[in-house]
Amino acid sequence: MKSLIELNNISFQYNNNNKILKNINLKINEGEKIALIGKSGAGKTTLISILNGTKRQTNGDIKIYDKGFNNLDNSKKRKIGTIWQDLRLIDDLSAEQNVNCGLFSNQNLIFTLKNLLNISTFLKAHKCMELCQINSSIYSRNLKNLSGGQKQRVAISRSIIQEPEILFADEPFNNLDPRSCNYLKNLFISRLNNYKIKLPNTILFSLHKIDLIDGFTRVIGLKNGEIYFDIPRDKLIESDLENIY
Amino acid sequence: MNKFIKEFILPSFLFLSVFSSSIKAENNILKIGAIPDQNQEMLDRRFYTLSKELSKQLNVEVKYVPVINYVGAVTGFRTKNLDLVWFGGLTGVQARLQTKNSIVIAQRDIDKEFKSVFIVNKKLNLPPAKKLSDLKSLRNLRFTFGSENSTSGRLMPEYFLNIAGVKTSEFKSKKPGFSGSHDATIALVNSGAYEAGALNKQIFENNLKNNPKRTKNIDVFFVTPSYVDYHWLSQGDLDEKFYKGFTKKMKKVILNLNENNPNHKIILEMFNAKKFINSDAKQYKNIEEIGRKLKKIR
Amino acid sequence: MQKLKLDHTLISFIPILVFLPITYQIIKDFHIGGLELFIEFFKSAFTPKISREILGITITRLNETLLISFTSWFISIIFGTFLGILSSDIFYRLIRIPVFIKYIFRFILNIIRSIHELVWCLILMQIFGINFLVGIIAICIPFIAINAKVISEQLKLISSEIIESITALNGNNFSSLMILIWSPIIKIVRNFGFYRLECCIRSTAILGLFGIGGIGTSIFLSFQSLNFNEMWTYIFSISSLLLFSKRIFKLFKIKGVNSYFIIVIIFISILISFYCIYFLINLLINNFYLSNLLLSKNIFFNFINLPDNYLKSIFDTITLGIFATGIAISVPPFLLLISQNRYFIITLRFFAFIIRVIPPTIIILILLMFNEPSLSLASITLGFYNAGITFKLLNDNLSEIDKNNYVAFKAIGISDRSSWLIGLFINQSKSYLSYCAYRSDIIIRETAIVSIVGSIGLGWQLKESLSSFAWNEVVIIIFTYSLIAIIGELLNDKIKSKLI
Repeated sequence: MKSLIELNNISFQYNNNNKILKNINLKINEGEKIALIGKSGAGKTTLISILNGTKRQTNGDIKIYDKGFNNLDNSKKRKIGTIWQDLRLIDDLSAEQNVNCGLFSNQNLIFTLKNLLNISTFLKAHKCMELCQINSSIYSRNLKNLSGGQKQRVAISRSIIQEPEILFADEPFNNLDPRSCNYLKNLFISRLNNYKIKLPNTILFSLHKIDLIDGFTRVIGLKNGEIYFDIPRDKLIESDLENIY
Repeated sequence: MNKFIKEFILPSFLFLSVFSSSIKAENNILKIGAIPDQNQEMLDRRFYTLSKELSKQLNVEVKYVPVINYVGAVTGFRTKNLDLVWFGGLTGVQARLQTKNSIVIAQRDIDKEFKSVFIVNKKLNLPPAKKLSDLKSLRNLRFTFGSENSTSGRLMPEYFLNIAGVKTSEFKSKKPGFSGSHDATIALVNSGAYEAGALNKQIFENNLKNNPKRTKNIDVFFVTPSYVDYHWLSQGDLDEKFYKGFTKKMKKVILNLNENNPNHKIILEMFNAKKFINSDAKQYKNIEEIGRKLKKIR
Repeated sequence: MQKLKLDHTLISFIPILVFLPITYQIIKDFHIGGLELFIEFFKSAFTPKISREILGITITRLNETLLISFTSWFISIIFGTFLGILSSDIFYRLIRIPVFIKYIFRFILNIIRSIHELVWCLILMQIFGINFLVGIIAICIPFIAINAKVISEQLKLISSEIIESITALNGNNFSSLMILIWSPIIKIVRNFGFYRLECCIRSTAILGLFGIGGIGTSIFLSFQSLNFNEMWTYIFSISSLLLFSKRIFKLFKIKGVNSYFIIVIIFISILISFYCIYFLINLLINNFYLSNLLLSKNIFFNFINLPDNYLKSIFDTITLGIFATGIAISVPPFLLLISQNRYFIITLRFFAFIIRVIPPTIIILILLMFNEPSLSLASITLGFYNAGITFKLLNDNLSEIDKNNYVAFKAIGISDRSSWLIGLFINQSKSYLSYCAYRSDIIIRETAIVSIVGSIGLGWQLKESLSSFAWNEVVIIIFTYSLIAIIGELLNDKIKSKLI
């Protein structure tokens, strides 16, 4: 199988502080569903930031589609999606406008203007929001007035509408009730939906609830900035989990 | 209701106020103006009547454009927003220096020997000056001129004060005031806000005659020697703008205003003149020199 | 030696000391000469002249005022937004063009902002003649720069995480920029923009006093012929217009703005600004006087022929700014400290409103009736005009915060004044002072207004030079004005950063 992403000896530190990531080596193949687990502060968020290119490693090198980030052309960059832990949505726009931001990579400026001025209907955004079980009554509501769970769904919709090949998600099921967690997780793992939306083939989700790791193909445990284990889901044993927490 | 205001009334109001405005070009109108040396209503009446007469005799539309200060009249003439302007001595010279080919049309009979008057508030009990050098007793008083660019309200009075050995920095608070117009000078000295002032003799006499209440607290202190003042100045290209011989005809109309014709009489009375007479730019050489000396012309 | 430490509350009161020299000079220069006129001025306030003719004039003049202020408001908001974006950090982070362009923009904007619209107006009027477009352009120049500054400062507040997440979507750079700046800009325009409308109306009225047209011109003309009854009619009409504009402004603040409305506004203002540019270019080409002027060498930086009393004028202008700031800072808390009586505060509010509505030019002309023109007189006028504004702000803020401390202190028997001071004012003093620091930037620019009328400082010099068409002096004066304002602003930034 082709490897999409390769990390070689990646380290990361802020100025002269302690290393947050130490010598990470990782290969991610197409079609893999990876769960990233670890205590808070283990370096999950930083690792995801390095994977999606928003942070640059201090040492080591990273290859995505066989290239470094600097050489990656936009058509490839567009295939990488991220759901952030702190969501990073724009508070003063409506839910629908926020979701539409995900379409940026394929659309021109006119689309953005239409979106901002609210002078068009956006079917695709509606589909994605429906897929994430967002009630149609809040499409046009200001994001400020939404609950944490609703905002989380908006963030997920924004990443879905982008139709990425690879999706990195940092605690994507925060703030959601157990039923929705399972529904959304299964959606990403099975990729089946009635809306003809192409869901990402390769995913890497960081999770803090262990019970959600069922269904993933591979589990990576981070501890103190190092990879503590990296094994297929079926080989994971209870003691591994106990050790990293 | 709010929505209605927001979406309908406001935009339509904006459109209306934008498009109802006076951005229109006015090409074939003779625009006359004047330095605002007197109260605006007075000027409005005077030049409105004159415009009507000019329009009748010249067969063009004439519009009086009010100007708020002396400098505005000079600039308006330079930028060709005004075609024919009633200037004072100093402003006329300034306008001519800045506008090529302008033509001196006429002056009033009284402008050849024009005078200013120094007035003081009665409470001062100042005996009238017998000779020019007596102006010295105005030192250390609160003193006001008219407009900064007035000939009879600033330039000539300051010139005569200088001859008498009084500098403007010798007034109280080291500066003279500038009331803005001759009528304002009268009002300010009459009320006591200023103790003394200088203005157009002609306008003062008019007020004395028609408005005794406004001058009841005023004594005449000194009447200056005579000099040349007000004149009509026109743009040099009016013939091209209207028709051939227009400038000549306009000059004739102004010079032919006649006391025997009742319509003309009203106009002449408002100008405080018996008639308009021929005038020449050379007459104002002296004013220009004084203007340069007092740094009003650079 | 122990260093004397000043706290914010104390700093708010210390400037009251400026009243020592000011009162001395004013008492020294006082005379009863114009008392009659002054009484008449006051009496006429209760008997404004109302006739069909006057109402007709009022309506046309108000329409002119609205036209000038609305148009300049549109243009200054739209272009201010554009330039604000162009001088903001985020723009250069997303769009790959050299950063030095940002500094060029900021530099130019700083310079044109440092000069008051009245100065621009007088100069433009001198060059282009009286035309209401001159008024619009004169207001727009500094207002565009002010709006640009506010916008670029607000855009600084966009968190870098959000910028990161949007850029990670890998869209078109302009799209990312639009998405990021859209909602902050709408917010500013909604909250701050409509306040600017009020500023535009106020400015139009003040420029009107110098001949640009509109209600201000009528006020000036009726004042000059001492027609006080008529003048009050005009003053009342402009104050009701200001109140009305506040109503509109509140309407917009509550509800969102329709997007079509925004498009229409943008469209209209772009049209009008094209017309303004066309007008300017047309005049520049056809204006031999101006082109000769610009070509002549001795206009620019001819520092050999300085205006008379140049240094004294600079000194006067700076002192005027400092005195006026002192009054604006210290008078409101001082008055509120005197008494917390409800009726006293209502009276104060009434006076603060009156003083904000009557143009400072008229106030100083009235004061000149029984006082010599002096630095103190100008400072008092400018100071109290601004104190009216700071008073409103302070009073509004004080009535909004919760009064628990105040009540608690009073309950344990502390006197009214002390409990007001330590229970209420102390919490507000910091924000009040930082607003005052911002206000003092404006005061420095506004010295131009009272300076021109009050025969003091650079403004007076400017008027003299303009009336004698001495362009080299005009250039020097503008340069000096700009320098004073910019240095003042730099000092203020220092003070502000110390305060916070």
